[in-house]
Amino acid sequence: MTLPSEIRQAIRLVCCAAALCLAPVAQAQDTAAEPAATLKQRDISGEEQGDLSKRIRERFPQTSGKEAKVSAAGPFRFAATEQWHYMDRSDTESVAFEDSGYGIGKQPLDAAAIQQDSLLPHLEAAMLKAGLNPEGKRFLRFQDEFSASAEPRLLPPTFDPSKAGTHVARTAFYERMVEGVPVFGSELIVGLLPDGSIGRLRMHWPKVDPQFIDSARVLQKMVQSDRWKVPPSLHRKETEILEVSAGVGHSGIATPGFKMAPVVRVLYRTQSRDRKYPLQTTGYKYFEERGQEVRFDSFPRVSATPAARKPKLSKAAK
Amino acid sequence: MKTVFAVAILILMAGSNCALATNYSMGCVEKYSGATGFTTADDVSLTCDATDGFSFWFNLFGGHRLRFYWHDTLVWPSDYTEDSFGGNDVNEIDWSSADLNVFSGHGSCQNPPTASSPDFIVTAKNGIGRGPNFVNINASLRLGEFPGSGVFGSNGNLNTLMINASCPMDLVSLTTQWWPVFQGLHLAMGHSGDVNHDNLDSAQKLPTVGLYLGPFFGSSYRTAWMSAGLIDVQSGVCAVITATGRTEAEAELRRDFETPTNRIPDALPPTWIAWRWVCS
Repeated sequence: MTLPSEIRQAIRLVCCAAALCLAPVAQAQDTAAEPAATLKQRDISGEEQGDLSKRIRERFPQTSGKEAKVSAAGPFRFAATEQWHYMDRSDTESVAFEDSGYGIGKQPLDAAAIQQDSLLPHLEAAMLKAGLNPEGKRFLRFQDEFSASAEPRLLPPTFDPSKAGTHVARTAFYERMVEGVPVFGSELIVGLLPDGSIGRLRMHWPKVDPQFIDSARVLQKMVQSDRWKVPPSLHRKETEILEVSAGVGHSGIATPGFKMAPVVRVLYRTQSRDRKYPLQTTGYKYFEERGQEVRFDSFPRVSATPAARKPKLSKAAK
Repeated sequence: MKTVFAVAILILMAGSNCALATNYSMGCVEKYSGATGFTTADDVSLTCDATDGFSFWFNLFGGHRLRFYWHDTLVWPSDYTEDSFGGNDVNEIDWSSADLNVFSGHGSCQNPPTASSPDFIVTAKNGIGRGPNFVNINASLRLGEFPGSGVFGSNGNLNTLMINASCPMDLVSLTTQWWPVFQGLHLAMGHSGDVNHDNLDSAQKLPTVGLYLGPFFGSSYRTAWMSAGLIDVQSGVCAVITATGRTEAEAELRRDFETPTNRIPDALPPTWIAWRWVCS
């Protein structure tokens, strides 16, 4: 018996729709506008350049007055002078900025001004003033920066370089949580210059599809109820699982393309058993619902130098 | 602060070697198990992705020259070891026109490190066993000894060494373990930590450093390492950058303002060391 083609087509459509509805976890989506291999320098139109300059001036008032060198490659746009460096990407709305004077002061930071209670509201206000209001940010910790110098020949044997520094910068580091779901790969660091303007910023905070949040919640329940299992690739006697958590993951700011997916992140540590020469690897891997690894960051391969070009060792060399 | 910055830039520009291109080399190890004495438990996943991503941004339009890019069992201890100690750095990372070398692989952590704890990078040469691949930085590396230094020959020229590994630059031992390495080397950067505070296997950190140092963003090594060096590290890890100079000002200038293409000319002997670190 054969069915008319219209009916066969209808059955196919119904089956596909059913499969989509039944799938509890949304599939990863590549939203890469610009594959890495085709990332090319491009011209910036006068209109785009004007828009870029306006955006930079509004966000970082200290940038006014100097002609910046502007360039672009795919969704990445850059502007720089000797005093500051700026980058944004149009596909993810990410932005990075660094004032070259950030952390350069010789005097230690005012201890009272950098207490969490007083500093965080200032950071919040500076970000709002710059038009940056990332949703779901959660302060995690400060990144404290120190500088020091010495003449080694004059140092006592008890000298501890970690205690010799001047505290020159304090940068706030935030993680991202959307409705109870962590977003892995999002980052926000921000620090202020003494005049209260932003001196260091990196914000990679791409929009998250609500469907991914829903799917990540399903994964969270699977992890909590032990229905999601750590894949066999991490079942080794040398490997300790440090943390398993479900959320939404995505590519980093420097990854030329962009990919986002609901995932389970497994933080692990592998330690060799060699007592004399121990080694360890700490890292995380992302997996989808069925345990397939998901990789968010890929770059064009740079060819390794062939073995034939390895310089010969002298007989005395090891 | 702006005055300090402006003066620094003026000094740097007045005495600097402005180069349009750098000569760089890289070594990355993921598959340690290809070398005798190591097992698959020693393998890592992303250290070569990290160098690929670094190079992608750093050399996006081919303006720099990548001399060697060794992978896995072609990363040898002799590549990093001073030639007068029996190594072959003179033909590898410290060759006569070397500007930048990037190592990405294992280091080795103590728990906790002390002032006398050695720092390591771990290579993967096959056939020599595990121990000889642990390159003791203090005992083996003497970098940048250009003509005139005379102590360890006059055949090196490396300006900057960047290490992506666990614990290769522990703060507590920095001035004892790293000082002798600087025989003309301008800058070195790595991480400080211990067994429980580790630099994670990551394909984001070095690429972001490369993005910062690349032709567009164009930042100093200091900005790149202090801003992006804490991507994918555990709490308690510090990103460290170290420089030397004949005077305190020169050492600080190198530490804070050198870029891949704007460097203060070599001048030995250094008497000052300047370091900077940021902790997670």
